Amino acid sequence: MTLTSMLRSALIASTALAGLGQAASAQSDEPLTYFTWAGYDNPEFRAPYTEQYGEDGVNFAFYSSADEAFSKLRGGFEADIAHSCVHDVQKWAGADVIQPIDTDQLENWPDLIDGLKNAEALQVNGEQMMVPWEWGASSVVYRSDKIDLQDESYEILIDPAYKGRTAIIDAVDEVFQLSAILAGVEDPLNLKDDEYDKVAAMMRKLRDNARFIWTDPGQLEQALASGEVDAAWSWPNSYASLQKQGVPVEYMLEPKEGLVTWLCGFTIPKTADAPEEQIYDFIDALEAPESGKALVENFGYGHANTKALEQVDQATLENLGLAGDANETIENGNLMGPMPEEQRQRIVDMWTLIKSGG
Amino acid sequence: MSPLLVVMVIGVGAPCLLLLVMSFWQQESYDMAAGWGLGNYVKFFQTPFYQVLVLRSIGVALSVCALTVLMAYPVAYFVAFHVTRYRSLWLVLLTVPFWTSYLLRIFAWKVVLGYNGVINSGLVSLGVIDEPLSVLLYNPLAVTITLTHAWMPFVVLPIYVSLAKIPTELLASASDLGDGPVRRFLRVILPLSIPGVASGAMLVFIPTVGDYVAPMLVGGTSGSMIGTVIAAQFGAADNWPMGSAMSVISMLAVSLTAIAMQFGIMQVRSRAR
Repeated sequence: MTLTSMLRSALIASTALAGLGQAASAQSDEPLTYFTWAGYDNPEFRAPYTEQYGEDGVNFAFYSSADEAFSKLRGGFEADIAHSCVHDVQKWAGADVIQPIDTDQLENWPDLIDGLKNAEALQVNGEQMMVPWEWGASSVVYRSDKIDLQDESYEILIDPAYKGRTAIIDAVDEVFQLSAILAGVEDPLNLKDDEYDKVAAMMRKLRDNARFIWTDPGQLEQALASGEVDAAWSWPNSYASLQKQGVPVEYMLEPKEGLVTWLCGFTIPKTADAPEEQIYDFIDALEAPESGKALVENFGYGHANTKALEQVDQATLENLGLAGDANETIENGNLMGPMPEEQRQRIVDMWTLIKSGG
Repeated sequence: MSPLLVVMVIGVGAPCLLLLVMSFWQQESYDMAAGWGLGNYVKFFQTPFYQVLVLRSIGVALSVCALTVLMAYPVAYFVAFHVTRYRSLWLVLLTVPFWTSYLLRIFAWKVVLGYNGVINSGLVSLGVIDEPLSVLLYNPLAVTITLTHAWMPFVVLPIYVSLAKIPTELLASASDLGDGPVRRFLRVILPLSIPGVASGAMLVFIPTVGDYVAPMLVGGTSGSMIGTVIAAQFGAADNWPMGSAMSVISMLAVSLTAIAMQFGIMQVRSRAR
């Protein structure tokens, strides 16, 4: 027997054993499919589920934007749980790609923050369509050693003094909110006809000042760490990770324009085919306090479970801007809520052109 | 019907037809409405920037063609006329860049051209520049460089084949009849290798003009191409009919350019004779 063939048979034997052990502990042999953004496969976010169903109890399918996810689900892509955000719910339900959720099957439901779970935007015809999971604010991260700020403002991203040293995100909902706020639009989620041009002009201004438009947080973090850019539109997880690396950065938590806030969670697609119990067990595991603690500490996002937030120390929460009442933080910011489909289509077309240089 | 024909009809003909039909449809909120309308085409021609993107894509692809031919020709020439032993080993070595995935090669260029990349940190440590240059990345030039490197082997091989086919007697006669090396090259070798140049150029032009991965990663805003926008129509923008119309228009533009290119190359050939 050669060494490689020995290794191979050892490997086969061990996987077979592992498979046996798993079959004994789980109710179902089939893994379910979780459709989400890359990065959410962190095992700490679902420990209780892994205990019950094993490491292989879930398959991840990644998308790069919720719009892409929507396209795929519309095309019949089979997923048991889809990660989506508050502004997707009405649209996804309207296009009939998701189904109502029976919250009685979720053990952690009573502990979820009331204001979040009862939000109107998560319901259609009185039925719950999304279980809130994570929330937070998007804002500007900047190098505190290079920029001395008196007043926090998003205007830094259009400041000619920083031309070529900023970056913005390639996510239409966020860029739109940012542009609308900077353009002085009153109600971004209900744009008036004459306001489209103002928003487009602001998008171009942001683009022309930026060194690049980022699609992947890793790219942004490297650029900030190396000094390629000094200020950028970012997610809290980039701030948290840069801080861990020892890069001197600050995150604008009190910009004069108000934070851009968001709320995301779980929906169950119509194409789901895993046993119902398994799907709810998975959601429940992600809603568990210890999963929430891991989410706050790893990603810097808020979690929907009050008990999870209680487990994180106050200083950490304050540093991330998560110490206040979740509902107030979200409501007082510029929430990326649902907008009329026609408006959204126009904005998407607008951004597609502008980000390509148009 | 031969098996190849069946494959072509199912794999190429049918999708093209579907694309053409869908380009006349309309996207209506979540659904596509079938029909025969010119709405998408009108929108394309009313948006000057789409035309800019098509022209830019053709421009980038033509530059890539010219660069790959200029750089590949000497290599092919050397292998065909000066390598006598291990010729096949040389040819295998030329394909080495293809042993790495396309995506990785693009990322490699991002590393080379990047702000803290090989070129910048090299120049800074040599004291040539104080601050890293930001003009290396995120523009059409970066896309051109990346694509040139990626597609080079596609041109070397056809040129090599046409050069290797030239009988050595022809070269000897040219010399005997008084041609120096330059005239011999221009009057005998170049015209006879034109078919290889033409097919190599085609092999590069057609795939690069629609490339969207390289522009997305190294092109930045100023280096985006029509492929980037078409890809968006089938993804985030979720407007397949519009994407189809853009594809049909690009295909026509590419075909016309390709025909013009072939015509031009053939002109060169006949004039050389």
